Amino acid sequence: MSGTLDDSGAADSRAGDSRAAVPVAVGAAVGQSIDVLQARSRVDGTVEFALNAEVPGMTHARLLRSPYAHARIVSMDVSAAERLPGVVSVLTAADFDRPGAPHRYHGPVVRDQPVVCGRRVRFAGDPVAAVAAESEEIATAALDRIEVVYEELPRVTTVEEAMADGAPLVHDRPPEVRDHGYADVRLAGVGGNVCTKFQLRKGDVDAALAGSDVVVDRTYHTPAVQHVTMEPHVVLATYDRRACALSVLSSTQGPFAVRDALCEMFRLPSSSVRVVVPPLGGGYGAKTYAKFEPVAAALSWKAGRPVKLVLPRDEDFLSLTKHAATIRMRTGATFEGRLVARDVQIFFNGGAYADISPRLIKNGGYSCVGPYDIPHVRIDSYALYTNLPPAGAYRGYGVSQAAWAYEQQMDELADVLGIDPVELRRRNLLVKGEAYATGEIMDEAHWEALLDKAAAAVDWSPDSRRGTGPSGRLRGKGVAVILKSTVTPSTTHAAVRLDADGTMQVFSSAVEMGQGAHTVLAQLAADAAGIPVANVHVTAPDTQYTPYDQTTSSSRTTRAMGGAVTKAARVVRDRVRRLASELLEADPDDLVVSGGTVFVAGVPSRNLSVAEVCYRTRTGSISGDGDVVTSGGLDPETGQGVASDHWHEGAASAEVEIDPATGKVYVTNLYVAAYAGRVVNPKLARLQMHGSALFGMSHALYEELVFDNGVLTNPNLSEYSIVSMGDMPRHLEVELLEEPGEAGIHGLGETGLPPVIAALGNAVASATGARVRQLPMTPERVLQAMEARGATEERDALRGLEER
Amino acid sequence: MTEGGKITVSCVLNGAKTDLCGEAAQPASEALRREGLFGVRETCSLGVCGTCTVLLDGEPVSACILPFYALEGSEVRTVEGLESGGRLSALQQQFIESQAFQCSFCTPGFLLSAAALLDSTEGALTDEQVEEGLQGHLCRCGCYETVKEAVRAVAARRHGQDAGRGAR
Repeated sequence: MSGTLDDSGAADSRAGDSRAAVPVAVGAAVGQSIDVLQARSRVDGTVEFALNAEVPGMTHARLLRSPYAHARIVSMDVSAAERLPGVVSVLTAADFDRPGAPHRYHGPVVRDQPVVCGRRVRFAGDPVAAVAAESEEIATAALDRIEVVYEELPRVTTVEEAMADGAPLVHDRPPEVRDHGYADVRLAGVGGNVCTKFQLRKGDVDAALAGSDVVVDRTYHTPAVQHVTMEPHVVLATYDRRACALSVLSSTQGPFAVRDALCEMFRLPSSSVRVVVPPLGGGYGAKTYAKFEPVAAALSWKAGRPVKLVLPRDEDFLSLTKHAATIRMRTGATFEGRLVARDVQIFFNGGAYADISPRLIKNGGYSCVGPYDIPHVRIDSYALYTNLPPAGAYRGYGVSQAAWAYEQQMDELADVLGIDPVELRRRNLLVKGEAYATGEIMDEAHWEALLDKAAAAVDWSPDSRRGTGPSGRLRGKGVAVILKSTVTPSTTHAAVRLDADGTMQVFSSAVEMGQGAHTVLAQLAADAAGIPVANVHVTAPDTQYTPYDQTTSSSRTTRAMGGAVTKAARVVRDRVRRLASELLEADPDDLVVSGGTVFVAGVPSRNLSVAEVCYRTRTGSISGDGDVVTSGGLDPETGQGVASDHWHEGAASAEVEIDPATGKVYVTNLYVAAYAGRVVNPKLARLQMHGSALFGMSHALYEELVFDNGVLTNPNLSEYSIVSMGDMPRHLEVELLEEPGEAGIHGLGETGLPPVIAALGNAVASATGARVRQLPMTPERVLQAMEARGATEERDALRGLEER
Repeated sequence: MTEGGKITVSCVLNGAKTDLCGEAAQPASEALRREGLFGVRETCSLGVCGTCTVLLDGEPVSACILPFYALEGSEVRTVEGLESGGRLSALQQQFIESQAFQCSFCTPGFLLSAAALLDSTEGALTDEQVEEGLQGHLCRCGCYETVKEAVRAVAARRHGQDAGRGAR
């Protein structure tokens, strides 16, 4: 299988579907705040990050990168670098012309990204050569000895420039579409600098807007930001020429996406490409799909030795970004506050290469409706190529951008209508059984409960939205509610093996990146098999042994992998019951497996340990498989169909204080809530919410990649600010909604992030009476907005005088 | 002592007298990692994120901008040196219980600065004191709240014990 997934495209009936995720109940392990697996290694410095990896004969790699955003490579001379003692190999585009060489281009959707550039560079930072040397110092020194002559080309760096008539083209030819791409991703509207387009059509938007009592028409901006994982990208690649096999240790969130990319690049069967993934020092989307594995692998192929690449921090900043976006949104409503129509054009700055933009802009596009019932909707969402570093997956996955726009617009609409913002939302929230704008029926809808909780957390009342605090600080409150999809369709497999002593191995390709994936999988496996969680070991992903999983992203692992592991463990439990049946002289259906013991239901004294059952039946091990395979898909013309297997629901509220002299925003109170269904590990779940809250706060107030002529000017942690401990809200609270009994697990990795940004935006606007529509809300922008409001008020006042 | 561009420094590393060899100006973080102390991790390489923190004579310093020669004659402690006799310190244990980490890449730095903070203060700690003591540390996963809980819990327990002793 090479990334070829279910392409039915049809809406499924999830009830009774054997491939759907499974609901689970609180048990001996599930629902308990157990410590993370291998907790000790997390606090004594011994976690085996990829950064620590070493193999005999290993070389160290560095990349030479283009200083120009867009240029032609006139000539390149690497001879002086090759002569430097200690240099093992220098890789350039010319190496890919040799017979039997790997493909030079890769990409998860379209093959548009060169491993190293040939004739042209498309962003400042595009790799043009790679050096393998005996030490990192030598590799670095070798970079200075490579002579490259560039001829600068006209560039486009903003979406406006990219769309202008006669704009320079980032790619001259249409991209080569990958043979076996992802089923949910279709390219449309390709041409010029348009990488792809997604559209959604529902009802008659023009007529509905014309008939609306009020229409709010605004444009919102969000900048490119970086993931800033504390551990950079690390790859250790070993190409074995004799065996024609490739082994890669990588800090990736997508072991199988990387494997498939390398298989295609090197024309190798999947049995010859092995990707192993140790724990990651943070992911947040940065490490999805092949990133630096292709260049490390190609360098090892040329050098004939293992190659380790550790990205320096400034280069990590160039690896991938969150999409900058410009969102023009018009929403029409009745005087009574019923939403009637929404018209959206959303432009995502995709940077130089497509990466996963075609999926992200689809999700970001349809998400612009928000958790609301809007009868008439028209959305056009674009990914544009520009001469900036590639943009791709980022915690929130397009929804941060969309929600920044639609939740600000809800408050702006509320102000126009003179309706309380919480009340306006309440009147329009989707309820269970209603259809989303894609036509799919919402099986669950908890937004009203989430909104009520968020409002209560900041003691919301219509007349307490704004006020004045100590020393003249302006106070304001804001709320936001959001919905977020998960990648659909998607495929996850898992296997477990119960050994004769009653311990279990879980074979899973879920990547442990700090979210606690392996711990919750152990909890789920333990309860499903009926053994203590201490008896469960979870393997690290190894594509040679662990079953296929699409990706550790999209807030999907606890539900999808958890479901697959639960099914696999139940297979094993049922086998144990059958084996024990004769020994205990009872029907298998009358046997219970719990805590590592098999007993007759209602007669706990008639029991045997699982180990004893295995011993007496001469059973060495028992294996089980499980999977979760979802289906869905959207019509490319209308955007109608099934966008998401299930939906993530979140809300946030915030209270801020603003110094009117400086414009600085202080967050005094931040509350985030999400629908969880079933929480597997409360203390880990809480931290996922904290993480989202602080990411959201950081995006709202601090983070922005600043480019000058396409060159990133702040690729370091002294000039690029992320939230620190001192910036923490005075009060931070998170809450998770659960169901009694058996309930479906809803992922929590991202749900809290988008509403926090929007809630802070609304709180700032409440406090100042002036809306900042461009993130981040820096002191300068807050002051500018306040001054603009002041000028408007003055003008209105003057006009009022004149009219009198 | 110099030899072929390299120098040897003598220090007390995690309680043991140690001679380390390296280039004088190279970052101490690299030299320590070469010793197998992988708890010393670089993130920003500028001394602003706190990830590579080590204790130099009890004071937290960023090892990524600390020249190797500066280790000479000092007492150096890395996260590997926080436990004693194979047992985690109370602070490390509390980090696990409070879940004061996610990916844990930055955790050694937090632990070392928190240990220094606890060593240099008496009694219970306020949120503000913890924030001040750990100001130079970034955690992208967003564990500041639970880090504060963990450090304050250890301080409070210690305070309780002190108070208990005082009463006797």
